Amino acid sequence: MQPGSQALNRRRFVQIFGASFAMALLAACSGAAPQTAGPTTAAGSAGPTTAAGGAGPTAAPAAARNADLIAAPEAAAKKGGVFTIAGPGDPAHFDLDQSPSLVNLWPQSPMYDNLIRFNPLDGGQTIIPDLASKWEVSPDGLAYTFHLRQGVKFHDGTPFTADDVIATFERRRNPPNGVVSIRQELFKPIQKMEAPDPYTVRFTLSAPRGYFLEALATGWSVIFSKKSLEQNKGDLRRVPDSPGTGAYRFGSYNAGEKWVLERNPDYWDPNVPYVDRMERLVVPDQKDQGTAVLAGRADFADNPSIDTHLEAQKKPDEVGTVLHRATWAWTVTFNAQKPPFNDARVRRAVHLAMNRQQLSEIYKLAGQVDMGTRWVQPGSPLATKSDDVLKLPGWRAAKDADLAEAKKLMAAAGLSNGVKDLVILNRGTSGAGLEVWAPAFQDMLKQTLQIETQIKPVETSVYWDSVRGGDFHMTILQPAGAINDPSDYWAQWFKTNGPQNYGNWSNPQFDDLLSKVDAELDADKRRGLVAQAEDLLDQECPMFMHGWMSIPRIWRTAVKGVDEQHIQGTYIVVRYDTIWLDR
Amino acid sequence: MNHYVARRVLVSIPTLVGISVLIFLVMRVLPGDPVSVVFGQESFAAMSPADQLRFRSELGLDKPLYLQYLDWVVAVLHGDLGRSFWQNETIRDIILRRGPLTAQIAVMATLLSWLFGVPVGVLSAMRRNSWQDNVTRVFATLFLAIPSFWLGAIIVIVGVLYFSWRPPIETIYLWSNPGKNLEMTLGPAIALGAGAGAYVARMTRSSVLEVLHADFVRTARAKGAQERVVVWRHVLANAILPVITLSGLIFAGLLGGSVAVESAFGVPGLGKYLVDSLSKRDYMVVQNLVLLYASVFTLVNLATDLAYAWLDPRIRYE
Repeated sequence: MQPGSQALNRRRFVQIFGASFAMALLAACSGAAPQTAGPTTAAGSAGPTTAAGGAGPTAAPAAARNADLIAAPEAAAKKGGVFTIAGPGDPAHFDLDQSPSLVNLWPQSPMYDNLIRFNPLDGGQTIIPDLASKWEVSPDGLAYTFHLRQGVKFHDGTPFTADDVIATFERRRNPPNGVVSIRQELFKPIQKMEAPDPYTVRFTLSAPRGYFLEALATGWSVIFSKKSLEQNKGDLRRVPDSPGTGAYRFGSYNAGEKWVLERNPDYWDPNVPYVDRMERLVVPDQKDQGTAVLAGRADFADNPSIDTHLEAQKKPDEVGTVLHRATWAWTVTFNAQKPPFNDARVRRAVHLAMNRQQLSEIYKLAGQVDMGTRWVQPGSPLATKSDDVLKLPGWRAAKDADLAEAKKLMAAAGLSNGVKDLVILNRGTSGAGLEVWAPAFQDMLKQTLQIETQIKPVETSVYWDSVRGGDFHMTILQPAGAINDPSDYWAQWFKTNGPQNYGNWSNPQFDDLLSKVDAELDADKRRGLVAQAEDLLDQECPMFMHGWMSIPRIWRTAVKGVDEQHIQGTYIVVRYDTIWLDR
Repeated sequence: MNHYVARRVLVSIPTLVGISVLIFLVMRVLPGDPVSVVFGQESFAAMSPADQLRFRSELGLDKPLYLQYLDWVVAVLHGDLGRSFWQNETIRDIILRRGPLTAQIAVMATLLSWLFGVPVGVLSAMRRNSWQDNVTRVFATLFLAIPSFWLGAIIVIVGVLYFSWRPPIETIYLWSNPGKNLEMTLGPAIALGAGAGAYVARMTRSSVLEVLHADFVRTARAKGAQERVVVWRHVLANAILPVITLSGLIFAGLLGGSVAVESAFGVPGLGKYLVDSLSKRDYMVVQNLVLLYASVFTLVNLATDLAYAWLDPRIRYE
C-alpha cells in the first residue's frame, strides 16, 4: 500500500467498524424507546381503574417508559438537585397507621411504597402498579391476588416479600394492644391473607368491597417491613426511620424544623426519583409556607394560605399555583344527644335555612368551598351532578321556600320563637377563615331561625375533652376521609359509633344503607344506593354540610413532574417521586 | 461585693421555688389532657382505658402531684430537664437548638435599641422644645404604639410583595452562615428593637434632662470643656443608670422570646415554642422553660445591679 492511498488500512478499518457499531447500538436503543402503553393488568383484573362501583377512568398516562414503571412525563427530565418543600411536618409520633394527620403522611410517605398506588401523573385518577406489578380480582369481588415485584429491598437491605405485606395488613386490621389503627375499618373485611409463594399475596374478603383497591392505593396504605414491626413490637411511634422500600430513604429529622430524605440509589424503579434530596422545612403557618415559595426560599408548598395563592396567581413567570380538592369537608356537627339538635326537624331546619352560597362568598378570602355535590366528595363517580344538587332544598340559592319550610319545622318542634344560649364550639386552630365564617353562620342562624348562640373558641387540648364530654350544641369541624369514597368517610362520620361521629348520631336505616353501599360492586346500583343515602342525610342532617374544601398548592416554575391540575385528594398523591427540577 | 452577690443568689432561691410551684400547679389545673393531645382525638378515643393509663404512667402523670413535683425538682437539680411529651425529645436539646436564635435576636434588639435610643434621647434632651425634640418624640411615641408583631408582619409583606424576599425559614446559626443568619434575625431584631428603642429614647431624654442642670455639669462647662465632652462624658455617664435598669428589663423580657414577632417572621425560636407547648399541654417543656426564664431574669437583674457598681463608683455593695 502506498502512502496517501485510499485503500483500507487497519486504522481505517477500526474507525469504520467502531462507527458502525455505535450506530447499530443507537439504532437498537431507539428501537426500545419508551412506549405509551399504560400499566399492565393481569388477565381478569379490573385495573388500572378504581374498583367496581367507582367506575373511574382507566387510561394511564403516556409517561411510563416501561409498561409498569413510573417516570416524569417530560422526556427531558433532569436528575439531580435538592427539592425543598415548606409545609407541615411536626408530628407527635412517627407511626403512620396510628396517625390521622398529614403532618405524618406528607413527610414520611415518600419513604414507602404501596401494593398499588394512585397515579401521580394524572392527579390520582387511575390506579397503577407499585410493589405489586399486577393483580387479579375474582368475579365475586371477594379475592384479590397481587403478584409482587422480585428483587426489591427495604432500605436496611432486607428483601421484600409477601410476608411483609401480610405483617403490615395484619397490624392494620388487627393491631396489638396499645396500638391504634386509625383506618382499621377499611381493612376489617379482610377475612384471610395468604402467601402461596414469597411473591404472591391473596386477600380474601368476608364480603365484597367496591372501594378495596382505593383503600390499598391511598397514600396511607404503605408497606412496612415485617422485621421492623417485630423489632418494635408493632409500635412505630418512636421510630422515624422505620425502613421502607420507597424512592427516598430517611436522612434526618430535626424536630419541628426539617426532614431530610435522600434518594434511594437501589430503588426498584430506575427512572425515579429525580432529585438527590428532598428537604421538608417544617413551617406550620400557612402564610409562611406560601411566602417561602414566593420568595424562593422553598420550591413547593403543599398547604399554603389562600392569600399567598392569590398573590402567586399574579406571578405566573415565577410560580405556579392551583386550588385542588382536599379530602375535607367544611361542616358544623350537631350534638344529636342534646336538645334542640336531638330533634331531626331542628337539624333539617338549619340545613334548609342556611344560605350556603352567601357563606361561600364570605369565606372566599380564606378558602374555597364546593357545595355542589351534597354529601359525596367532588370528583367521585358517585357524586350527584352539581346542577342537580343546586336545585335541591337546602342546597339551592333561592331561599324563600326553604325558609318557610324551616320555620314550619321549628314550629313543629316547639321552637317557633327560636332558642337561646346554644354553644358553637370551635377549635382554636381550625384553619384560616374560621374567624369570618363562624360569626356569619351565627348571624344567619339568628336572622333566619332566631337561634341565638355563643361561639366558644378553645384550645385543641380542651376542645377534644369538650367534644368527648358532649359539652357543645354545635361544633365547626373539617373532618376528612382517607379515600375518595363515601364508604370510608361516611363510616367515619355518620355510622353509629363511627370514629369521627362526634355528634353521636345514630340511624339504623343509614347504617343498613351504608352496608349495602359497601358491598355493591355494580357501579350504577351503587350510585343509586348512594343517592338514597344522601336523601336520608338531607332529611336527618347529622351535620350542616357547607361543602367540600379546596386547598392551594404553590410551586416554583422550575418544579416539574407532577400533574398539579388534577389532584384529587390530599392523602392520595404524596410521594414526590416524579418531581424534577428544571434548573 | 462577693457577699452581696451570694446574698442575692440566696434570696433568689425562694423566688424560684415559688415560681416552680406556681407553674407546676397552673399546668395541672388547666383543662386538657396531654395524652389525648399527643395521640390525637381519633387514637385516644380508640384506646382502651388500660392503654390510656399506661401512657399516662409513661409520662409520669399517674403519680400523686407532690411526687410529680419532687421528681421534677430533683431532676432539675441534677441537670436533667426531662423530655418533651410531644416527641420525647430532651428539653435540653430543644433549648440548645432554639435558644441561640432567640438569644441572638434579644441581643441584637437590645443593641439596636441603644444604637438608636440613646443618641435620639440625648439629642432630644439637648434640643429641648426644638423641632428636633418634637420630631424625635413623635417617632418615639409612634414606635411605642406600634405593636412589634405588626411591624414584623409589614416587613415580611413588603419584602415578599415588592422584593420577592422573605427571611429564611430554617434554623441557621451565626457561626454556620453569618449572612443568612443575619437575613433571618435582622428583621425580628428591628421589629423588637424599634419599640425598645423608643422606651430607651424617652428614658434617656428624661434622665439627661435631670442631670443637665446639676452643679458638676455647670462646673464642667465653666472649666471650658467642649459641649460634646460635657454631654457624653459627664452628663450621659450620670444619666445612664436608669437606662441600664430599663435595658436589663427589656433584654430579660426579649430573652423569653417574642411570640408574636417569631410568628410573624417564622423564626423557630423559644418564645413560640413555649406557647405551642402550652397549647399542647406539654407540661415538662412549659415548666422547665418558665423556670429557665425566671432564672435568667434573676441573673439579668443581678447583672444590672452589678453594672451600677461598675459604672458609678459611689455605689458599693456590702
